Amino acid sequence: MIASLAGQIPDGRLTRARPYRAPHHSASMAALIGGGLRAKPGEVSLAHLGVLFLDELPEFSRQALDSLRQPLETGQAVVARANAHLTYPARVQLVAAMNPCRCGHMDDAAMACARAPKCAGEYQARLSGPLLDRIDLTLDVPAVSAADLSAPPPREDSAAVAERVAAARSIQRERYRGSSIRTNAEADGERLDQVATPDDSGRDLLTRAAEAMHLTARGYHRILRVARTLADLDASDGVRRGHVAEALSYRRLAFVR
Amino acid sequence: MVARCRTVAFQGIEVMPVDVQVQLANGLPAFQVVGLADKAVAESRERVRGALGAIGLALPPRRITVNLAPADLPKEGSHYDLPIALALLAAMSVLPGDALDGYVALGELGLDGALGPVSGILPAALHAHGEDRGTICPHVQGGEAAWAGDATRVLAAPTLLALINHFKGTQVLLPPRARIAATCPTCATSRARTAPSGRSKSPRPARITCCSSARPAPASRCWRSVCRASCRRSIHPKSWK
Repeated sequence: MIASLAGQIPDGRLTRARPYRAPHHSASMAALIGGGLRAKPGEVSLAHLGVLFLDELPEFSRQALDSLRQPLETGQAVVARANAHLTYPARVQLVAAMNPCRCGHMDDAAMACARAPKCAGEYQARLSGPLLDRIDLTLDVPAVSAADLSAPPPREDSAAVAERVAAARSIQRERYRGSSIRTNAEADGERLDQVATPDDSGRDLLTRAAEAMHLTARGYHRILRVARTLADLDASDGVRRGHVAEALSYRRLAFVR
Repeated sequence: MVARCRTVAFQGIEVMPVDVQVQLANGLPAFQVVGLADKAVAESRERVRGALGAIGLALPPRRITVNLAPADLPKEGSHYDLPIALALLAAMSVLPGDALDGYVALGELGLDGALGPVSGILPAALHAHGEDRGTICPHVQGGEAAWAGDATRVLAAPTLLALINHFKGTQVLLPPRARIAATCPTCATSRARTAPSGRSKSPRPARITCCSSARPAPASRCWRSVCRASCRRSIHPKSWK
C-alpha cells in the first residue's frame, strides 16, 4: 500500500516479498521519515514489515539518525508540517553496519592509523545513546582473512537456517493468535511479562545484570524479548537462564574496544 | 446542469473522497478549475483539452467550471485528469448522466487520450470497495486495483475512448486479473544461498533478528493457492498496526 502511494508498483503487480531498503548515508531526515512539500512516505515507511539497512551508520547525519528513534519505538512515522499532519506505518527491522573507526583498521595494530584508539571513540560517539539503546543485537565481525575465503563453506546453509527461523516464527504466530501482535518484537507490557518471564535463576541473572550493566527500562524489556526469541529457536516453553545470558551478551556495553 | 464524478485525495495513507463537479454555464467561453488545486491539477485542463481533441471532441464554447469538493482540502497529483475528463464528458452528454455514479476514477491523461499510471491506486481501490463502488483506473494498473476486492467492478482502460465505448456498451472492457510480481519468496528457493565461506562468524544473531521481527515465514504451499488470501489480508488497512 505504501509502495502504491509512492508510485513504486511496476505494471500493477503486487509483490509478496518483504521490502528491503538500503538508503545511501547522505539521506536527509525527510528522506528517511517522510515529508517534504508533498509529504511522501520515507525510507522507514517504505521498509514497513521489512528490512531497513543502514550501511556506514555513523556517516548518516545525526539529525537523520535520531529521527529514527520514534518510529523504531512506536512502529509509526508521524510527519507534522504546516500543511500536512500525516502518519505512515513504519514497523521495520533495522539492520546497520559500521566500521569501528575512520581508518577501519582498529583490529590490526600494523594497519591502524596513529590516532587509534582515540579516533574510534570519536567516530563511534556519533551514534547517540538512545539510538543504540534501541538496537538489540550487536556483533563485532572481525576482518576476513584470505585463508578464510578459501576455506570450505560452512556446514549450515541459508536454507537450513531459514527453516529453523520459520519454525520459531510459527511458534510465535501460534502464541499471539487472535491478537494484533505478530512477533515477540511487538509484545509489550503485560503480554510480554506473561510470555517472557524467565525461570528463577534467569530472573536472578537478569536482575543482577541490569544493575551491573546499567540497563534502561527499555533495555530490560528488549532483553526479555530477545530471550523469548532465543527460547523459541530452541523450541523451549519457558525462558531459561541460558537464553537470558545469551540475550545479555548481544547488548552493547561500552563502545570502544 | 452539474455532472459529478468521484475521485480521492491522499493524506498520508488516508484516503479522502473528492467530488469532481463540472458545470457548463452561459457566459464567456472559459475553462477553470477551483478547489485548492496545485500546479499539476491546474495543468490538467490542458491535458483534458488535448485528450478530448484526440478523440474528435471539442470543448463546448461555454463557461466550464470544475470544482473539486471539499474545497478546503489541498489536492495534488496528476490523477485528477481522468475524473475531470469523465465529468466533463457527462456534462456534455457524451456519457449517460448516471454512468459514473458507482465508480471512483483515477488516472493521468496523455494528449492523445491514453491513460497513464498514477500513484495510490491500491488504497483508492480499497476505499472504493469499502464504499461499495467500482474503480476506474489506467489499464496498466488494473492488476493492482483488482487486489482490493471485486475485480469485476474494476474498469482498467487503456484510453479515454475505450472507457467511453464501455459506457456506451459498444465494446465492453474485460475485468483485470489480480497480478503479483514474479519474485514470490516461497517459490524463489534460489534466493536461499550458502553464505560465503569464512564469513560464518555472525549467523546466530542474524537468525534471532529474523525470528523476532519482520521476515516472512515461508508457506508450505505456493502462493497460487494459499497466499492470495493472505496477501489480500495483509494489504488491508486494518491488518497493520
